[in-house]
Amino acid sequence: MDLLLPLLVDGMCTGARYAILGMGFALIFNTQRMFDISFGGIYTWCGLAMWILVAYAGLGIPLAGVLVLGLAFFLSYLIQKGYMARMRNRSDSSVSIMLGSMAILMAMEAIATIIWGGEIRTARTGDADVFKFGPIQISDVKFYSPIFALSIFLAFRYLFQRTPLGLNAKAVATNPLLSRIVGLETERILTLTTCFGCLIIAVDAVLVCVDTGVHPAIGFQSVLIAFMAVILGGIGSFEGAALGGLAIGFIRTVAVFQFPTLWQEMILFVVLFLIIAFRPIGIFGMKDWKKEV
Amino acid sequence: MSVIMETQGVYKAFGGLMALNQVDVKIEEGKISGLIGPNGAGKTTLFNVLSGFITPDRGRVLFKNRDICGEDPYKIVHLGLARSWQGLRLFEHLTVLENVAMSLPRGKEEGALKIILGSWVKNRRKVQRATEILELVQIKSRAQVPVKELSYAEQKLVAIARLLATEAEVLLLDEPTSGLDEKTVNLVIAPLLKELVAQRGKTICLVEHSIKLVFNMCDWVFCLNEGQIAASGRPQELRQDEELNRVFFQTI
Amino acid sequence: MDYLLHIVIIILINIILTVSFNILLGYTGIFALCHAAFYGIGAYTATLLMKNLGLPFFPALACAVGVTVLCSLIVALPGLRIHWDYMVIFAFSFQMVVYHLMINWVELTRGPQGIAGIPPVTILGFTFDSKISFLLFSLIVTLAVVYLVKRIESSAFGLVLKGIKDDEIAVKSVGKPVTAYKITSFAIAAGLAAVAGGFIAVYISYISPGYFDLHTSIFILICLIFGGMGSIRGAIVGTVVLTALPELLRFIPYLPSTMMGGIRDLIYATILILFMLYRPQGIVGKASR
Repeated sequence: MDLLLPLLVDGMCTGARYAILGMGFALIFNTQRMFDISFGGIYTWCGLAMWILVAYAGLGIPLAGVLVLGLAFFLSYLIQKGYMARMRNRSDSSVSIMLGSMAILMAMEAIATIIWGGEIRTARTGDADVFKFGPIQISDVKFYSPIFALSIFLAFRYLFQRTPLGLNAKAVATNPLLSRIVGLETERILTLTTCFGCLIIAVDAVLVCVDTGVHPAIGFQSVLIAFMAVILGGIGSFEGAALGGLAIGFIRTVAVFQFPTLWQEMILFVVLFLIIAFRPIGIFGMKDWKKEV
Repeated sequence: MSVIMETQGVYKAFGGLMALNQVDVKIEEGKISGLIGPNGAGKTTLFNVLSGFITPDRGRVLFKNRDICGEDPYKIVHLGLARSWQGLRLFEHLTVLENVAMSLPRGKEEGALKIILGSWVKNRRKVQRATEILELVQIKSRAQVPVKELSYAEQKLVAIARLLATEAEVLLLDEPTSGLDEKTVNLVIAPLLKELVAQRGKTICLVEHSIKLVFNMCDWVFCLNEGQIAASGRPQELRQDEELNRVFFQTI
Repeated sequence: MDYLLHIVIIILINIILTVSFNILLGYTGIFALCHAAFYGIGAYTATLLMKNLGLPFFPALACAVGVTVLCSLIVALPGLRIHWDYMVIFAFSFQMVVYHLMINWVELTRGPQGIAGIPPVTILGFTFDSKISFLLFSLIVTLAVVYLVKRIESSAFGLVLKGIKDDEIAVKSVGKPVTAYKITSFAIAAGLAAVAGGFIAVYISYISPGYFDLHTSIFILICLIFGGMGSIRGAIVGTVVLTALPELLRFIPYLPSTMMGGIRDLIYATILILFMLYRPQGIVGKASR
């Protein structure tokens, strides 16, 4: 019982971080309906940018964080306009989109590796602030994660339901052809939604940089987590992705606890494998996601 | 006068949308039947149900007195029923000959090893059979051309050729003449369909929008509207009905 | 000179990989990013049989092919039911699971250390332990594999695979069991990858999980995209260029080895980026795909 509480708390915090990744990717995937994984490269660059701003340029963490979010939005805009939009224009094939975005991811991580090398760098200088709640001790980063996750969740749910951009994004997600006919600028909506998705994902990049540290391969890892969150939680569901991320966070925490270190990574992949094999639409997924005949 | 294919009480809904409602259809062997109706009536859905691409929520589909509900589409082709597609669905990167040759059923001389390792071009029976079909459909001259380089009319002919290659007895054609000019329809398609039935003992069912063609060719017509069979009978008889005229036969 | 022979041998083994992956991706259109996993399963199986049970090369290779083909069913069978877009992730997760098994199942695979001391091939008393002899040996095998794949490409089977790539539903509508065809193409591709695995094991005499990771799968993919999917010539051209290219990097002066990995990846990524956008048919392919 002694161990249960810290386990729950840790699971919650990791879960919150993964939920953030899930929500960001859900935004991108639900609107595009394609596996655009270029956000992974943005994740790496944002994590490293955070390090540069804090450890190198000496900026305060909150300020650096905001700048990094802006960077994420900007990078995403460049990538979408400069490459992904043209890829989408060129080909309907989801495989091409995925390959192209994977190439961008690879390129960005390669550049990061060349410039930074492979070591892990944390933005944290000095000791972390620790909050105490009764018997539990949480570091400040871990404390903020669920708060951020929840805010993002509520904020974007609101955006989807109230703002014109949100409603248009939903329209494009559900029926791209009709949206185009009706006059919605689908490409612009896709780009904007993707940029917001990357913004959300960058929040986690900031958290990771402060918490455990960054290195060039984290982008790829974020893609994996985001994937699993969306697939577990349900294709096409924003809420589902958040819950999926939460669940994966818990699974991961329990895995760290129960299993020898080496097997932890594998658990997640096995879970992913089994989910796709047996219930590819996820827990809250929508059935008519892709029509066949 | 035997019924080779029928549906009994077929019902299919997609989400809240009801596509087919209590559809009872009997298709007679050796005849040409027509399936007409406004857009969205459910004609293609019915074809999908008949050919096994969609399983109905309720009802039975009988082919040669055997319930084929839930069977794999490719097995249904082996049983003797094949269909063409409104959107053609040709193998665009393959040549005309390849499209047709691929659709031929497996020959008795073709064991698994031969299929995987034997060059199909050297299979004289196959090439000959495929060429014959191309000749029948009058597109032999374009045999080596990749399908995506053909004109729309030529592609439609290839679609029919591919359907014939399956050697199925019952052929369902989904809008075989849409988008074609009168000359091609009258000189190529119509005579071909008639010959298939008269000379080669096929049974044909057409989904058509050209009422003229339907009245010209069909022995029996089914009128489908909003998922239900509004009427069925010989074209001349149906023509007498004013209500049917209004809903279905506007184009006459 | 020895170095040159080494490159050629690696190219030959890689050709087996790309040409077999082409069956899945180029002909059937199945984007299964787990080819390196099959490569690895073949390599490890052959290695363990040779080292632990003392089997000679060819029987060990045959068993390795069998095991790998069985494993391919793990991907192929569920892979058929799911929408094909998910095949990418599904195969990818299989790749990662296999990789992690190779790393973690230390009792079997010795983990990241790898397995060393793999005996060279001996046939009829002659041991292929010099570079020249092994080169000739692998040349013969690679030619055989290429010939086999060429036969498959021009067969009735191959024709149906190409049809599946264009329109799977249409293939069903002309009476072909698409499922059986897909499983078979998986089996053939995986089996050939296993052959490559056996060869790399006896050539380098050492295998480790790092040879068979996602990176390798992606490399095989890029070779196809660069050279041109769907044709044997394209696969060969792509393999030759992309295997030889990084070796040129070694000759650039003052390049720290830590950067080499990054630069190589950047080159690969750039090739992928450019080709996906401007020349998706690859070097060898015809335009307007």
